[in-house]
Amino acid sequence: MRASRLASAREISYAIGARVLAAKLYREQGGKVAWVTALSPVEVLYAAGIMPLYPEQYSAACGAFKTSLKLVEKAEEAGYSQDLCSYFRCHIGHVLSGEGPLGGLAKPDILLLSGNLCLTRVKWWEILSEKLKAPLFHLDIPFVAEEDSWHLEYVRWQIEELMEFLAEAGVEVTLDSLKRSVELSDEASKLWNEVMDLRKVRPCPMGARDAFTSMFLIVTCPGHPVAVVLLKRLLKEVRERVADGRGALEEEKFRVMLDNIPTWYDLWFVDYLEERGAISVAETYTYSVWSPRLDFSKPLESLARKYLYAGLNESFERRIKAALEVAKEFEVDGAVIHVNRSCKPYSSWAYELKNALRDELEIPSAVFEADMTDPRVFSREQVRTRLDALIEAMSERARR
Amino acid sequence: MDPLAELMQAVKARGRGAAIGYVCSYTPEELLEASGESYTRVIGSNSTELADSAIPTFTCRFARRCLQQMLEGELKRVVGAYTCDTVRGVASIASWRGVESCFINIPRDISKKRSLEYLVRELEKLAEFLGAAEGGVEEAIEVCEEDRRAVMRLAELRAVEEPPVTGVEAYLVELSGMLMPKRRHLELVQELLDTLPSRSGATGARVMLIGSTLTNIKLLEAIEAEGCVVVYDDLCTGCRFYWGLAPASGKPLERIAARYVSRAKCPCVTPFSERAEYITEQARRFRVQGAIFLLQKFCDPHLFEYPALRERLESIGVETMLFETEEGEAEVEKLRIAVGGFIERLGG
Ligand code: SF4
Ligand code: SF4
Repeated sequence: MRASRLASAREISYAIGARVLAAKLYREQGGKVAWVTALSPVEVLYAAGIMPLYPEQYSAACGAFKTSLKLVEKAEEAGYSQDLCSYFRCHIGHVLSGEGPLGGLAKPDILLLSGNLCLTRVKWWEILSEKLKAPLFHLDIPFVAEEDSWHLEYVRWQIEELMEFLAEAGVEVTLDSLKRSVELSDEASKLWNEVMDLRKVRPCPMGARDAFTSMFLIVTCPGHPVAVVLLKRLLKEVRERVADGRGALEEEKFRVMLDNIPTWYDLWFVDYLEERGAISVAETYTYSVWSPRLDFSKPLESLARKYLYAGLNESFERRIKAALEVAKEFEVDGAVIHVNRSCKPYSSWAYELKNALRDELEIPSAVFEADMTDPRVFSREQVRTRLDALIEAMSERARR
Repeated sequence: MDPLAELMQAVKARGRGAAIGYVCSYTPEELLEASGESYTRVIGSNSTELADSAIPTFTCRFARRCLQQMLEGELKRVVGAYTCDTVRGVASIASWRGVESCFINIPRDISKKRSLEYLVRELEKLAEFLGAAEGGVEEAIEVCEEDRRAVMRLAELRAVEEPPVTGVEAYLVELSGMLMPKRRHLELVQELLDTLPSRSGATGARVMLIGSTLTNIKLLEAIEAEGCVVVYDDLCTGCRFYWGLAPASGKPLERIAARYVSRAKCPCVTPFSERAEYITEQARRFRVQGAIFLLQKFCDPHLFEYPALRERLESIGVETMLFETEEGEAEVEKLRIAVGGFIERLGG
């Protein structure tokens, strides 16, 4: 049996798709659209009435719509190496060919780039700005191995610069409107964290497919009221399940944690696990990275902190400790680690994470190599073998 | 001994025995010099066995070899700069595994005052880690600058018709400077510069190399064996390390930071437009006919800019070729054949 899906998560997926269409109308009516990297301070854009669109998320959608292969091939024809991140290849394939699902992304008036997470996006946005001749703002976010005050000051100062940059482009951001959007963002964070935390309950009320879908809302709309409205509905539905003692699976045998960005073109591995009674209770991709709490009375500092201490932008020390904490709190029996060829920053910890889970918590892992949007390097056979071995290891662990 | 022979020896020794290793050409060498300890650039071990169980093999082999060297434990401490994603991963793994290390961030637009201040703060962090005292830094800056001037003088000689050094010789000078004591390197380069006027010139099609790192000299020999002469290398283990001087006055750390504004541009920390300008300028200055992109396989920063950079170079009449490498022995012959075809295209 697969996990039963949440109606409110489905609504969220419609809303996310609708944003792509809405952006076109918005722009036709004189509104401004920005192409932004995930984990950029979009609270500032929402405060300014600019609509952010996320090429990374669009690439994920291309994967889900199974059009990513065609697009990555377009990029490769133009000379981009097959070894580059497939989110990039997919999107640049879309920019070069104009092809892609949902009628394509509305063209940007502004490009906003945050240097947290990876260098890939820095090079990617530079290429976009060369090709599209749109003004680019680069928020240069340092990598943080240690908590040093000057990192935070540096980012905070740049958020002020971003506001000046927008003013030059003809859009004012007042401190009041910024406070309002930071407040909304914080509320969305709070709701999202509550939903995620309810997955600690046995049986777990929400599976990975719903978590991955609804995550896009907290990624793309922090600071916009729609996130609050829809997350409230999600929370309500999840709470109801918990109150009724209903799990996403009829019979929950194992609780697993998923690591890395999933293979969007084929989430079969999630179903395969569920059919064997293993539910994903936490994903390193969906949990906590997107949703720190913010203090709206200190909007700039809050935002600087949020976008500086942002997941992949932190040292292994911090990240592995956090993952172990999640594994403990969610009472995880096993982990599935996707070694994702596209995302070097995410995948470089794969073996260390596996070792830490084994050594510190005696939690077994299945490790498989694939790619999040390039289906050519995915083999169900390989994955199945690893998952079978994991199920076996978890059963044995349960018997002990 | 012939200075070139001694430099060659240093390259072969790969800095073995040094206490501190540094990972990237953006590491402020001055602070290492001022620490008073022996140091070397980390250019990797030959094997990758330990590293391959720590980081996926779809990361560049150069970085995996460097990680191997760090995990082997001969170096007491490791320093560097967070540049590409792979270096960040390697640094994170090393630190997680208990290697004593300190890495700094290089802001992307150092022309801004606040960015420069941020960089100085990062340099202070590193100076503290290395125990580099301020007085020592000033002296170290002079030594490093002197060495840069000497290497750059040698590089400039390659701009002339029939340069007095081959690309292989020049590269030995460059790479060895990262693997041996600075002062000795300076003496040898000066000695070499004195002998150059009496040397006969290298002939052949003029090419430049673009890439990140190169540690297998045989690859470079294979390129020149085909009848071309490498007159400039934009490599992070080559010219890029030396190019650009610090301002003559100012506080020591500010001088080091300010040098980053004028130094050769690396794709990890430089916007494409600036990179393209710098590369085309060097192509003109050294009057190259062709450019060989000799890229480490999986080297994202260079692979990203390759299509557009190739276009820029071709637009100013420079032919290009691409060769992705993991620096294995089996590649030497393949590269020689590929370059042979390329030289024909250049009409050489
Ligand atoms: S490299 Fe990773 S973090 Fe960067 S864009 Fe690709 S998937 Fe995202
Ligand atoms: S060769 Fe490229 S990918 Fe490898 S460490 Fe150097 S810059 Fe990074």
